[in-house]
Amino acid sequence: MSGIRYSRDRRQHDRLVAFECQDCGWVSYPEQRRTCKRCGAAPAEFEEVQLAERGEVQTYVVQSRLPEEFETPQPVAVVDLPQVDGEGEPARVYGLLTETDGDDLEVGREVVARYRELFTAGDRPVHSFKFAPPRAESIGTDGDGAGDRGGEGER
Amino acid sequence: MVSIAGAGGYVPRYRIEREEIARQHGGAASGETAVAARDETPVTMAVEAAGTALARADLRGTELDAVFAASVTDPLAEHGIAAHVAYRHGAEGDVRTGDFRGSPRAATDAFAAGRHFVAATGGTALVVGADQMPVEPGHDDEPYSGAAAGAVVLDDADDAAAAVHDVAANTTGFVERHREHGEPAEAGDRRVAAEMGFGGVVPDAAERALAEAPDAPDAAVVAAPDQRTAAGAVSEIPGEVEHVSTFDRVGYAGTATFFLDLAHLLETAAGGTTAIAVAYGAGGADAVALTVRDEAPGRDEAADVTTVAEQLASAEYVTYAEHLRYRERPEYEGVTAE
Ligand SMILES: [Zn+2]
Repeated sequence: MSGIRYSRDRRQHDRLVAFECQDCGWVSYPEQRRTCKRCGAAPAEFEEVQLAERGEVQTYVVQSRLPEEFETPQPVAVVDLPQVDGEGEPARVYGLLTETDGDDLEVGREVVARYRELFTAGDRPVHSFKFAPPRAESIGTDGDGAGDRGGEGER
Repeated sequence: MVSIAGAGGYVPRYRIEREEIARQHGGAASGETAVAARDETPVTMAVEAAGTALARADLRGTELDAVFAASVTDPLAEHGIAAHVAYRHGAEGDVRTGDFRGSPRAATDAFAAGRHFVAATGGTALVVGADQMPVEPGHDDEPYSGAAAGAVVLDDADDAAAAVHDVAANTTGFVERHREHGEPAEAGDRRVAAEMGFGGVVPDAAERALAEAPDAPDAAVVAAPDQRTAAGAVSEIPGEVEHVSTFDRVGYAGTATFFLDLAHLLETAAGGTTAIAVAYGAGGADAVALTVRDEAPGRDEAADVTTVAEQLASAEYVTYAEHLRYRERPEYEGVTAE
């Protein structure tokens, strides 16, 4: 996971571009391969496809022991992201969850892609997608549920 | 005429209750302040707000001709935000970019650049501000140092969300409050700042911006680090002016406050509302006069677009220790280059 590799794969990590095997329809993300992992076509003909930013959790695990720089417990999931045009197969994407309680996860749960800092290469931030439940779902779950107009905070 | 085609705000989900901070150091404080998660940066917050503004404008990023970004807390001296936001949303190649910094007034520097760009070329510009204010335990500003982003899409269409009448500049060169990279601000003498800086500069800028407006303003956004002074400036604008502010829930978020409060205003104001939006910072102030054309579009469920009010209401409260820890840059020692 070097910064160089992330620079080369910017379309995947900044734009959710994936690669569809023209022989069997399998969608590779984020790797841009020569050989199809499913049908074995080599070299396979891959076409770029655009993934949607909303998908479904297929399986997940909550990691409780990680290096100190990670927040734990850290849920990790495999998420099926459909193609934006509604055609073809979804991509099966492995990703970290952010701002998500493990108790809020289940197979089939809808999550959205969130563009976040994944790690740093030296001092340089490397961004890509994590997943989280849609923000709209948590409105009013905490806080008082009201937007402020005319507020004049004291200080 | 240049218009705001769409606007969007981004408020981090994590919040600290100011009482919690006051408890640590003594004193009292009310309200809450937005805390960026550990994996949020000015870039990620700018990307979120820009996505909402584009969705509201019903535009794809590939249709953008320019992206201008403002930030006073980008941790990197060379890296930039504008081009990153542009690429993320699909804009590349013949796309003008600009990064504005050095004063919270960079918010309106960027806005004015976007307006000039649209007026000169007839193209479409995205303007975004994103900040994550640094804190120091026990510093006066600690309870109010927030994080947020906001964005507007500017074009010259007639059916846009708001018409921009003018952007008036008032450059004084006056600097009292100042801040080193990564450090909280030195406020200096607040009374001097209020009299010679803020107080003197805002009403003039507002008056000039409003010269071309059809009506007196009904609402105002004033982005300034000191909320009491901001409220004072609103009171000096003639007529009944409602102060639209997210300060009680977000705190002060540098250049983002201007765009976030403007998005909140556009999402909540009635059609026909004339408003003034001001950004103040070292060196002077600028005022934008605008009229809301119609009811601004609300949430688009499918695109996961949420209003500022909805994001304010979607909060998870963190402890004092988390509030400090989330603001440190993580060292990813467990992840290494291949
Ligand atoms: Zn295949």
